[in-house]
Amino acid sequence: MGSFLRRYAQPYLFIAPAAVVMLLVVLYPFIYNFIIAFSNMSLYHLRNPEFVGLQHFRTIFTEPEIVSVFAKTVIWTVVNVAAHLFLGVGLAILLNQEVKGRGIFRALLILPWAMPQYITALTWRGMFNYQYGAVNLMLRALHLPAVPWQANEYWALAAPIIANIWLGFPFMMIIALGGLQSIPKELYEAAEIDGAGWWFRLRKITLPLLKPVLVPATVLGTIWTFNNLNVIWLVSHYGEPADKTHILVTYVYKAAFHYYRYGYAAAFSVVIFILLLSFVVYFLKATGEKGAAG
Amino acid sequence: MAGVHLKGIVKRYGKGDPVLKGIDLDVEESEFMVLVGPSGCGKSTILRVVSGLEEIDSGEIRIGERVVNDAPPRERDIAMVFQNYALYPHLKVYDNIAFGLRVRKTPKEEIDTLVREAAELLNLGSMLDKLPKELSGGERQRVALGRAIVRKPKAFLFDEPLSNLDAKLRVQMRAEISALHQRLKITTLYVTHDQVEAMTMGERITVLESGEIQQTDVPMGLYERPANRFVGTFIGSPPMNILDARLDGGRLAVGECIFSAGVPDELRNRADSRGFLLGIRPEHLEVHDRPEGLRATIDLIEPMGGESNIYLSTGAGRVVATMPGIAVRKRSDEVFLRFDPAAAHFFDSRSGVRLGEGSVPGRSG
Ligand SMILES: Nc1ncnc2c1ncn2[C@@H]1O[C@H](COP(=O)(O)OP(=O)(O)OP(=O)(O)O)[C@@H](O)[C@H]1O
Ligand SMILES: [Mg+2]
Repeated sequence: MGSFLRRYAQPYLFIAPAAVVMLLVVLYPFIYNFIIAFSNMSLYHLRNPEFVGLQHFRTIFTEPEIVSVFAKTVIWTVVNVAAHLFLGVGLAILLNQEVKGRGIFRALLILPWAMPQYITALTWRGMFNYQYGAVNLMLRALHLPAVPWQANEYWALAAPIIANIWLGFPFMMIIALGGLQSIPKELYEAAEIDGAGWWFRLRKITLPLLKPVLVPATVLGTIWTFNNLNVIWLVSHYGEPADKTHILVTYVYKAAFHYYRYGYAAAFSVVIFILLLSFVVYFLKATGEKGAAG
Repeated sequence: MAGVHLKGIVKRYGKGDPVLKGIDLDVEESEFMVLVGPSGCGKSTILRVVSGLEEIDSGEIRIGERVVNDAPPRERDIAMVFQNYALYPHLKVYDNIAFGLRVRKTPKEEIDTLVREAAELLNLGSMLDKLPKELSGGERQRVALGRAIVRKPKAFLFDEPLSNLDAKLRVQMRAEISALHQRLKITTLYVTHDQVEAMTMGERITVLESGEIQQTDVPMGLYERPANRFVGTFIGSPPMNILDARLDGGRLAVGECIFSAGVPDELRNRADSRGFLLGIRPEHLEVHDRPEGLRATIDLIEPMGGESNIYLSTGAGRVVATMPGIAVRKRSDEVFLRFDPAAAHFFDSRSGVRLGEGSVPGRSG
């Protein structure tokens, strides 16, 4: 033990400050969240919360909106991640070719990512304004009907999705570009001599070899999108119209910080956490097995 | 199967000087042609041009009867083996070999027969289910070969396929590739920068330098009648010694030493004042103690086992001689060098072009 301490004291000392901060800002709230999930903490019971067992969980699963909010979360996540992947990989393939002005295109395409989400989300909100928004102005200029981006339940979900696709594809593009550049060019040349066209090369070489980088990026992207509060919250202006534009996290956020239902919101967070955890475990397992089978 | 014929090929990358400056090369049907030359001379470029990966600026490429200048790679029906093998890392050996057949939509059963046939030929039968990363260098090389032969192409192109292998494996794969060619008789253009590989494998050899062909001949032809100084020093190891020589009263003179033997007519016709180059292979230099011939000092002795390389300084420059067995001499010894002028090669000192046929009048025997 003495020798262990002597040997490792220094490195542990060095990581101690970071470890303490992590414990305070990650682990402590995480555990505290679990504790209040089983209590009736709210604005009325802020100082004197009582243990209420699974009561919140029963409420959550009998909530009338729960199905619709969950469905919208799935749509939000799937559409966003799919679009990020498609646009990101597609643009990366284009950018990976030897085109003139490649550097300029690359810089331009990374720009959405370089801006703070808040600014972008609020800007998009302005652009989706029915009367004066850039989007509808353009639609009118093209003699198309204006779209009620903020008044209609479905368009109100489409608007933040569009904003978030714009925000999120550069990440996938950069990841895919890195992956593409690590694929030796001889593989393509060998395939070309073998007679493979670009579609065959894309399916049989590019995509399989991008998989190792795309799988973790997709997992991360899914978690981020699933839990992305800013964009949908700001673009839909806190869930308008009439709290129809919610995904699970914005719903929880509103419950906690607009309605002060702390215990309820904490329980809901636990549900979200378990949902995400099971997704990640399942997804990694599924893609891992396929990877091994070729 | 078909011959590969290049006529006046010029190739530039971008706007610079041409990398290939008018290449004329004929690889006959079923021939094993080795293309050898120093790094950067344009060997890979020739293969890329033949395979269609690069376009040419002028000239004509013919594969069999067909001029393929503008044909994309897939229409040329050739197979290429890359230096780093270019195996698909995510595909098993079987699928790697089957790749080209699948591209061509060959029926499944036929693919299976062909892949197993190729694997059998290359001793890969037990490895079909492995991924490339689970194979040794030599096995990977064989998979790359399998991928090339399974399609039964019109011609093979090899780009330094053995340079990533260790010395022993290289010798073994050299023999395997030669044996494979004996069996399949597929027209082959084989690139290497290793002159030993060229000499041992090539039915004919083309020596390339700075984008220009220096000489094409059978291996012993290159060795015995190098067309110029470059070929003379490039082929053979240790390389041919090159010494300044001159005519002294009609007789051959090197350094302070004047030989009694005659020289080729071309030399005799040259003005006595002009010098030329004498090339002599290390094995034709004889090291002895009698004060006869070129005086020399031993700088270094490399024992090679069966023979020794002796590096010496002479009044006419530094040379290397090869002696059978272990040298009894040591560093700094004073010795004399003798050679049969009949074994010497003569080159123009400016252009490096060969002078005479190498057979000297008055050659004994
Ligand atoms: N894509 C390219 N763009 C510009 N120059 C190139 C390109 N490929 C090759 N070159 C140049 O062309 C010349 C010949 O190259 P090549 O690859 O054919 O040489 P090599 O004989 O195969 O050499 P090595 O033995 O090193 O493989 C070199 O000077 C190289 O710098
Ligand atoms: Mg090369």
